[in-house]
Amino acid sequence: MRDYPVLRLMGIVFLILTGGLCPSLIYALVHEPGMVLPFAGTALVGLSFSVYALKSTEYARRMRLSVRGGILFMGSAWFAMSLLCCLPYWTSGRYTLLQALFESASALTTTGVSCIPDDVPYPVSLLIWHEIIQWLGSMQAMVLFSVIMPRMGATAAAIFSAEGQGVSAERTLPQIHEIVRLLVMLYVGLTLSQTFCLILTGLDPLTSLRMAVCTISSSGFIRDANFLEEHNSIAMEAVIAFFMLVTATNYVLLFRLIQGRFSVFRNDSERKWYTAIVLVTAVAVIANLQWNHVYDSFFQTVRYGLFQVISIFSTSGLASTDYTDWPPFVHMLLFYAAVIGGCSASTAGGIKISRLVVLTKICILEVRRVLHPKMVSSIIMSGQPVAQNTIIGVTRYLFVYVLLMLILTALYSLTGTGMIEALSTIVVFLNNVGPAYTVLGETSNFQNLGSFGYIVLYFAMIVGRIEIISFVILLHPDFWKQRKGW
Amino acid sequence: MNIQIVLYLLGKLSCFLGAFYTVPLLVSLYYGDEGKGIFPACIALCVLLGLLFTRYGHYNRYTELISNRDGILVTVLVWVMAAVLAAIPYAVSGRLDPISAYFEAMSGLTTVGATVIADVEAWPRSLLFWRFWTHWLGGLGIIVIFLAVLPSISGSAVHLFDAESTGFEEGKLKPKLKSTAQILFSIYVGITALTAVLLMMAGLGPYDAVGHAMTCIATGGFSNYNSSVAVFHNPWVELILGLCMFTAGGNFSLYYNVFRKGPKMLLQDDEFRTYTAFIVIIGTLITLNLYVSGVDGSLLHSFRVAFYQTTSFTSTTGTVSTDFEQWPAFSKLLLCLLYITGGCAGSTAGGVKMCRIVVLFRGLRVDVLHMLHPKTIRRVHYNGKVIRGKTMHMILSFFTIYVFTIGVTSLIVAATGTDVLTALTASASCMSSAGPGFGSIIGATGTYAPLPQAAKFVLTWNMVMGRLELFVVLALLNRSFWRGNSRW
Repeated sequence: MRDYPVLRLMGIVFLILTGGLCPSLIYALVHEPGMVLPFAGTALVGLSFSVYALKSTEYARRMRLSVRGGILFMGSAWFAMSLLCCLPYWTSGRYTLLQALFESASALTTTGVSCIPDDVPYPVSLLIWHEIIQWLGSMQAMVLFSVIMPRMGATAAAIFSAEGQGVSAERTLPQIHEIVRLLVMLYVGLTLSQTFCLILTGLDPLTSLRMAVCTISSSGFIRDANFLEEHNSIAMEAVIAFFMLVTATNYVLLFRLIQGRFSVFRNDSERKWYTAIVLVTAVAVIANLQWNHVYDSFFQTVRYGLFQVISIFSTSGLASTDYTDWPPFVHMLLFYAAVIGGCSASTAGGIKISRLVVLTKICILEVRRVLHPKMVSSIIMSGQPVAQNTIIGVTRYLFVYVLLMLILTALYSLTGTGMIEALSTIVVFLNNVGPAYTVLGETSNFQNLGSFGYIVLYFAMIVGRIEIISFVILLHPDFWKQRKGW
Repeated sequence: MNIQIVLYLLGKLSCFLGAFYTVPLLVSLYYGDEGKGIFPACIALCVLLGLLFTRYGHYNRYTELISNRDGILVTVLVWVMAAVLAAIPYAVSGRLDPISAYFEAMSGLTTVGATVIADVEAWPRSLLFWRFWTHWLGGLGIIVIFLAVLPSISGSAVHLFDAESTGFEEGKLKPKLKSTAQILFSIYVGITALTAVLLMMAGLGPYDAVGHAMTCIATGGFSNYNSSVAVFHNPWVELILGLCMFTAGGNFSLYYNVFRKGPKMLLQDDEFRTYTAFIVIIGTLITLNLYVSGVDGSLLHSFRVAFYQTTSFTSTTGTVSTDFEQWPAFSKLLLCLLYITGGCAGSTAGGVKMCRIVVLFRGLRVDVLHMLHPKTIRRVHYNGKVIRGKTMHMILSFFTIYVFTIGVTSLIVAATGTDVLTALTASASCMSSAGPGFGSIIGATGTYAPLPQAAKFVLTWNMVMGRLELFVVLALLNRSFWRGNSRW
């Protein structure tokens, strides 16, 4: 293997994950002696791998990541991580290997679905582990998207509006380190401030932290699915909705805001469209709910409608009420919201707003071209024209996305589900929305899927998280051939 | 915008429709059913309208050129007006309300084959023949027939033809527009006749044989039985119809080349090979799925229904030989995939079209290679020719617009209170001109009758958009289209 920087990066990631094991290990030592061995063993595996990786690539510290390396890392990191993270689940003896993989991938990709039913006890140390890896996984996705994706050429990267002066392939290593550090700090800061806000609404500190982790990572995994419904606190829902909205925006942009560069924030096309799309969808949902008299008071309609729209756009999938009985129009809108997802370089999954905007602009432009066949045109995002390569890349992404979605849906339906159930499940997993698998009104459960079902969903989650194209590249045989001239 | 040209052309269309009404009139006279009261009135109305329009419209083919904008407007209006005129018999007979009648007529003319008639068998034969007849007329496109039969337009009708035909092989058919249209027309008639004769040999009555031949060559989907082709329980009939649909979903100009240069042209054509491969692969998968899940008994029977249904969906015909609503979801979802791919360009099939799908896949491969080897130069080839970047861009944006339009229209259909599955499959089905959808309402044995009027109306636009390949209809949504006195 010549990709030493990749191995090195993988070593760092594993080291961080091993560090993330500590709280669970400590808890297990104190309260759950049965879980000590699984965690200690996992820590040992993780540590030995990362030590090996870091030691053997000591001299590669200053090497730059090649294009192929970037793709290789994007493509394989999540698979490797989910392998390490599944160890505690598997060795605890409560899960089959596939269930353990499913559970760990669900946490890492911030999908947030558990294959353990609510009434079966879940060891607390494992729960802590679940929450930590979803927090770390989400952070990694956001950082990778901000730092590595733009280096993979115009085709794979989304349109980085905030990137005018941000990270690009030309930047040197120290600057990338600096940016990664700042993004991580921002992420930690957001988590802490949400915890603080939740404490102010009257929640106890530990639960607040857990809710913050679940919201900021846009995972939406809560052990008690009816948590929000039971507390029935408007203040709490407002805080959670606000932070979901924030975490689904571009982190680089948020960072500019903190830097005080308001003009970048103000002129960002994706931010504008994000606000507009969420608002329009929310208004449509609320209007439709009101029209169909789903709730008695207008206030309740706004409360539940707005929360659900934000929750699904941010791909966390939390629910403040049971929405399976909402009218089909609302289900359809929420379904599209799940497909669209949040902004690029955020913790959210989905096609991403920036791509949607470019796609929409292409549609409008091409229709206009029918009238003016010789028109010269360009698509502008944040005041910059979008390169032709990027446009081709984005439309190609949609093609692969639609294709993959249909194929995975067909495959998943082999487990014996209905059409709509299969569709909503795959969309929810492919976009890492998770608990919102009832988005089309059909419930589902993941406890007793056959191994085939778990494998399909596992792939859907990870492929969705690594933005599909880097996965498609991995499928190409040329990628695995050793060649010169990368 | 030159209203006079538009009026003139619409008037001509109206006259021709009046002429076409004579065929169902003859059928109704033969069977002596209630149609003999309806169709003469239709003829009178069409001719009257036509004379009125041509009287006030004006078009001199030697001196006037149809502008881009007029071409677009005429193309869309031709479909709308033809559907309105073709809806008259349904509405006058009192069996359908105006919107449903319009839906049925549009579905016939655009060869979608989605029906709003709950009990077809209770209808008189002449009206049912009119349904087949609209399919058949719509099949090659009213406009192509317009061109073949009415030479007076051909000089400057390139725009009209542009709006209809797919494909990126620019200028292939244009120089000899009239003669090409005539050749396509005779191939079309020939296959219809051959299928009808074969069906009669397989034991069908003349009415059923001709009707189903017409529905299949047009890749329509109407039938004069409630349970469509399933009513015959005859494997030979299914085989003949299957072959007919398969042929109808292929490229007609390719068949023309086959006549001239021999059958090896078939094998050399990228699109036709993909089309065949698609049917074989998906048919096999469905066969296996049906056999393994034990829905349809023996392997042979699974094979029979699976391949019939796959061919029916790929060619976007939509005739039904079995109640596929009972199939496992995997098979149904594979059929849904065919809503997107559709048949070949240059056929009566709808959908994105196989040629585009081929180029999309090849483009993806080249893109991946380019990402791996950034400094290499690779091109996408199709039928031995290089696909230019601009063409690739057009195909990708067509796909995008196709997906987006289905997304938006299904949202509108859902807004009328229709459930999600019905909304999604109805709009995809009407867009790809297939016909049947999935779910309890519009499934294999269902009809579009229970849908709200608003949903029906939206779906008629889906049909027109699918038929005219989106751009022409969507151009009407453009604000600048309606702004006066531009010089285009």
